[in-house]
Amino acid sequence: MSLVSTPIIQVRDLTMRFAKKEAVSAISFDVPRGVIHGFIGPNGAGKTTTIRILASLLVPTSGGAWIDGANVVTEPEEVRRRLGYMPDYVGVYEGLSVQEYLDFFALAHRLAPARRRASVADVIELTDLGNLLETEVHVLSKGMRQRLCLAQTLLHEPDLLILDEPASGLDPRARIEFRGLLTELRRLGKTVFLSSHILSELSSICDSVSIIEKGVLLADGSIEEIQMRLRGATVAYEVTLLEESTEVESILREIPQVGSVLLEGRKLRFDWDGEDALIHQVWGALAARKIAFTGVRREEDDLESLFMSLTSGEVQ
Amino acid sequence: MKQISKSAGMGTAILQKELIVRMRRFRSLIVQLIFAAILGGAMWMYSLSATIGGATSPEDHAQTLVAIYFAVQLAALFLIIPALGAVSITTERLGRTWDLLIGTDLSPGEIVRGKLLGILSVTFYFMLLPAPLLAMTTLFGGVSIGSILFEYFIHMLLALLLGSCAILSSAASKGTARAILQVYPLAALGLMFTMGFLSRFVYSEGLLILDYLVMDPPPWEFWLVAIPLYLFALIGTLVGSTFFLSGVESAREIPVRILFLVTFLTAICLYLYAEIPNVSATGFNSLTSSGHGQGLIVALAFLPLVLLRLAGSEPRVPLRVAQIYGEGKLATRIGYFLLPGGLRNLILSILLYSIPFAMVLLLYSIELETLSQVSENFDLENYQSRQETFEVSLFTMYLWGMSVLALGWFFAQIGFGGIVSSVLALGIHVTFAMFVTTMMAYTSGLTGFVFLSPPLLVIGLDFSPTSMMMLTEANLFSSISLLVCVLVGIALSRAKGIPVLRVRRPGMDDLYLELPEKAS
Ligand SMILES: Nc1ncnc2c1ncn2[C@@H]1O[C@H](COP(=O)(O)OP(=O)(O)O)[C@@H](O)[C@H]1O
Ligand SMILES: [Mg+2]
Repeated sequence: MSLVSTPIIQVRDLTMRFAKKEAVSAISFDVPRGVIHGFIGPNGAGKTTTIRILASLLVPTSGGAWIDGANVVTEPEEVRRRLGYMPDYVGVYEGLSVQEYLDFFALAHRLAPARRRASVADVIELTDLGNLLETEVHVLSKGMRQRLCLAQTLLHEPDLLILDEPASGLDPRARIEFRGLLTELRRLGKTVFLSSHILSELSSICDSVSIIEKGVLLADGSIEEIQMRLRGATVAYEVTLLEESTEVESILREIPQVGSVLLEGRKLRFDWDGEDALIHQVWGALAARKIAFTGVRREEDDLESLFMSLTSGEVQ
Repeated sequence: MKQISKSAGMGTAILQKELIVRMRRFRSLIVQLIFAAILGGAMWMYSLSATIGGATSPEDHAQTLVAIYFAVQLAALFLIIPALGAVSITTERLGRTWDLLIGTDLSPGEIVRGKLLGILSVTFYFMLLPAPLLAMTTLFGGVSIGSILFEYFIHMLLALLLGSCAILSSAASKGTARAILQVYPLAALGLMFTMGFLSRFVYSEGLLILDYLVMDPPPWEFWLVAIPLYLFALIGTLVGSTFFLSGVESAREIPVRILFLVTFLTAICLYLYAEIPNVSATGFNSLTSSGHGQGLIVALAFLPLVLLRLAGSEPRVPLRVAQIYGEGKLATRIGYFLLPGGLRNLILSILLYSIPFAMVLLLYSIELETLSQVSENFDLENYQSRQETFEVSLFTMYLWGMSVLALGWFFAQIGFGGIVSSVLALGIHVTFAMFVTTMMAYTSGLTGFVFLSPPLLVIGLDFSPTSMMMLTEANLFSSISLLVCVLVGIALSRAKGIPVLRVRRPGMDDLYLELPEKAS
């Protein structure tokens, strides 16, 4: 087994029980190298708990996890050297400038002097903090703080970045820029493991996802894989009609693969049990009766509906 | 291969950061001003009193001025360093920067050393500000450069120890408030002793420590004890802090226990060394004489307060300890009772509690031997009656102490944390004592409830038949509560699946150390 082919994160039957509740229940998954992997679940699902275990900051109740082959319980130092971890709340030291802050962490990572300067310069360029070097860190905006923290996790050039809700609290612009930063990191060959409770944040950039709710892993794999697994389950279509029509319902019911139909004004929603290739029957039937429509949305296509179909959406 | 720099090894990264942050803050300016104001005020008051007191030679003035300066500096050290140290780790925790820090390549030891150096650098900076002025006073004569340098050296040693104690307190606490509350009583005690001694014998005479040592050199045994004791305390607190920062499942409890054990043994050896030459049945120091003996017994009554920390600690064996034990190292077998968790917590605390009693018994047996040499007009009968009081009191206190420790241990088995367990056990006994005192005030004499608080009974023991009967009741009460706490505690542990004697962590086997072939 070559090292390159081993997944960078391996989680097996990982369980974390706190005094009163089980925050994580026997979850198992792998994350391959070089991808952006989303770890998605509502608030209280157990994301932070899992991430802190992966970062070797918390000892699990049972099961195990490996970062690049290093066990998080028995080899915490190795694990910390191999990953960059950004907590959900980013604390910064008061009274240090951005430059001093990064210099401090470079020194703390024991980089040799020459490499230290190069590393700091690299991460500053990557995160575009160049014009803020003299600014004191505690006056930075949330978005800039996030960047600074990301820069800090990159200093020791880890192959894996674990980011806990990095996009929460960012304004839309900062969020888009942050996404750009993550794709840039993927281009550089890093693996990014990031959690979120908001799906739209991730759907456009994630190569694969794990979905967790109430400590239980509901699905795991690439978005396509998860969709494939859900085949046979119903797909919903939402059609926007040009004008209101009452006969649409009966037209659709004549097609056997159509499940429940819901008509609300110009919005038509129906479930489809058949193969994708046969959906043209519906459009054909509508066209034959001269019913025009202005938009079609296949709900399963995005991560959002995938998520909704998997989770009960309860916040714990 | 990564290029690795060794320069961070001594904690220079932390030191650098601390210095930048501290020196830049406005606060440090204020501290400087206050420091200067205190010094200036003291000097001014001196110059006033000196003018009033009449003329003395310039040498005398110089001497006294320097002595006052150092006395103030010493007091300032005791005030400032505990505050700086106590916040050092807790602010990292509360500001959520600790996770970032521990994620770097810095070990907890380096973080502790860096923090200590940071505190000391700031302190030394303040201390050295007036150094040129002090050097100038040597021009007047009466004060030597050597004395001033030695004084600085001693103050720095003291600052080092104070700083590491304060960091230990910070590392052991979740909140800043608790860290400060823990360390200031200690600092106050230290200040009382050091200042009490120095201001009485040294500074008030216009002397510095070196002058005093030269004038009245202590015996060589003093250095033999003082130097190792200092090093032991310094290294002990540093190692202790490091282990507190090494994660919840680490083996940090082991050094804490070793520290306890060694401190106890050292203190007792010192006490024996001082006492043995003096014990005799006739002497003032006779253990059975009411002053000395009762003092000892009161001191022993306070011992459980210290040891409750051990008895009431977490009943589960930390994962790391269980793993180390599982590796079968001989040292873990030999030091079995020093391993945290289960009934060992109680056993170790009782063991430590027994050591001072054994010491007292040893002294007592030496004292009894001197009985053969007493003169004829020695009141043997009186001695024998006191002897009985002493023995009975000692036994009662021993039994009572064990029952207090068992109560603390019992609370830990229920699931309370170390400090809460200690406070609960103590609280119950303080309540008993208050209740008994109140009842005694009402009935103006011994009450039927006095068995609840054996220390009160022992202190007022008069050997009347009633009080002897109550003593039996008290001992019975202690024994029964000891037994009940241990038995119920064991049952509770069993019910929770926590091993009582085995060094095993429940669920330890559920953790995967090797990657399983296939996920189950
Ligand atoms: N230290 C703790 N003690 C007890 N319960 C905890 C602790 N940390 C987290 N939990 C609980 O575990 C659950 C999962 O929390 P968390 O991992 O923070 O969720 P997420 O990050 O997905 O929002 C929550 O219900 C939370 O209350
Ligand atoms: Mg979270």
